[in-house]
Amino acid sequence: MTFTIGVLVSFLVYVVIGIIITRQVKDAEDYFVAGRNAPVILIAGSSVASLASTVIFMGDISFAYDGYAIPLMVLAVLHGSGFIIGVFLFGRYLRRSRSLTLPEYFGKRFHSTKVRRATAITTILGMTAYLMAVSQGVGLLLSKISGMPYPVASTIGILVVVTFTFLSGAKGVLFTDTLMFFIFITAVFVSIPYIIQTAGGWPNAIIDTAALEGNPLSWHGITGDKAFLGTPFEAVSWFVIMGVAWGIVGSVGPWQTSRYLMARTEQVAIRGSIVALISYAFMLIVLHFGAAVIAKINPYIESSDQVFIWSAMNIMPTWMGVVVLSGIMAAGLSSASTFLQLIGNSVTYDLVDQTKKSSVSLLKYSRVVMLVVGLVVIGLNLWQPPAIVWISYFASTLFAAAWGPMAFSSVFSKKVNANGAFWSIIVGFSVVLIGNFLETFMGVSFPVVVDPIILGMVFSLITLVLGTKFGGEVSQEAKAFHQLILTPTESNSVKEVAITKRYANILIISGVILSIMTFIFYFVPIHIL
Amino acid sequence: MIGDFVFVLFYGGVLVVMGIFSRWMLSREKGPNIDHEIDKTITNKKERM
Repeated sequence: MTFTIGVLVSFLVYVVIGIIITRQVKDAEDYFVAGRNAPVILIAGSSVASLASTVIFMGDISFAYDGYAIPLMVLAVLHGSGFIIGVFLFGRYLRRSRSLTLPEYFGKRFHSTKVRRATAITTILGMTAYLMAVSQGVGLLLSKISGMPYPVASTIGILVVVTFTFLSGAKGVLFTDTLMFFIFITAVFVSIPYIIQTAGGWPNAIIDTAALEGNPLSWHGITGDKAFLGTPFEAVSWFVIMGVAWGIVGSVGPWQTSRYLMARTEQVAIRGSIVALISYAFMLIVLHFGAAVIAKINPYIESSDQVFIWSAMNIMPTWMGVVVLSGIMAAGLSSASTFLQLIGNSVTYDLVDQTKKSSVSLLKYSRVVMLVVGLVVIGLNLWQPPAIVWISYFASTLFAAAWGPMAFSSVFSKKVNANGAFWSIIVGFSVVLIGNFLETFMGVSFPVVVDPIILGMVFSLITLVLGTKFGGEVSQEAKAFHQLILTPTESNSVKEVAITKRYANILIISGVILSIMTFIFYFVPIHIL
Repeated sequence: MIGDFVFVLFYGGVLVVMGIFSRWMLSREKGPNIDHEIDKTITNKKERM
């Protein structure tokens, strides 16, 4: 009961914040991109919160519990590098465009309504499926904590998200995301030391976990009967390749890149991304080692995606358990609100021409659409249409394939045209869909180097090149817009860049500290003591 | 053992590399040098006075 009350109180807090922030939302720019005024902390907090969902706190850490903690961390840090690659090679130019949505950016860059609608439709489909996956996690968690039937629990969860998202739009989402970020990062840094202490403290917890059957703390993950990802080489290869692929997903995925549209300046976007990577990297290494150590405390937890939840409800003091469960819930809700906001924005603004509406009437219209979209998502979550459920398993990877080549080339290529862009989206999206269909329903097993996400990116790139070759000249409007985004803004003054360079120095120092910490806390107990 | 040590270097090393990459990208900035513009304006005003 205490856990349920704690989580429900956190829900109330988010809704109240949404109501309060509503008063600050005056026009469409506030609703879509938070007035383009977000400071570093909101960009960083929202970036990590949108990325870290129930997938990380339930799905990913099941890998750590099952014996793949170290290779999983390799994937995670490569994924996180997408924050930096993304902001420098795409995000900063996106910010210069002053677009309200990503599809608007692509539409203007290629001077093509077709490209805009294709990116909007991929956003709506992909984000709806991903939102359903995350909502499912939220619903399962609330159902487990409270004993509510799953349909009721998931409806309550989504209703909370719909309420503060439709009321306050991007401003509310940024603020609640950042609050949720602080909750779940606190949960990790407070609870994992407690878990390690329960497992025997440092260094015994690490030594004993490493000594478990199959050597689960080795660089290649567990070996022997419990290994389920093939040989050590196969396992590491899978995590490394997936890490690189997910890094590209993180660079161009709309839940990430939409944050850049909201930053006060492009330098703020860069600084926010640097802070995001630092906090993400520290949080994940602590979380994944903690999850691995839980296997030493209780190696018999049936559903390994419930490991952190089990710990919160069975090992920790009640107050700590409440913080952890609220934190996991926050991770899910923060991602869900970002996805819902993106879906609502694209439905409102990118499918139908809205240029004749004033900013205030666009705001009213956006709220209505957001509410309708939210109710549709609730309905889908109750219905669970198999097709959407199936897509949710790989929804986020669709963007790397469909958008990746196009997004980077929109900045670095003068030649790429609307024809190339449009068909690269279609082909990339389709190849990922077909590849996953063959895997799921036809039993086809792709080697990791030709995983559907990789194939999708390759085919998308080939299509971009060929489509551009046979697509005619780039229009003058597209050229002008390209020139606009390549032109540095006032925020690139010597002083501002010098401040951002200090953030980069902190990133370097953080990396050194992380390696030293990992050496002391992980390597020394296992190999030296 | 070597693999575990490589992991130790790798995890923090990715952040180091990203930091160096960030510094390099920022060093390529060719933005409007507002500070110098302001300096010039002030200098010109003083000279006129």
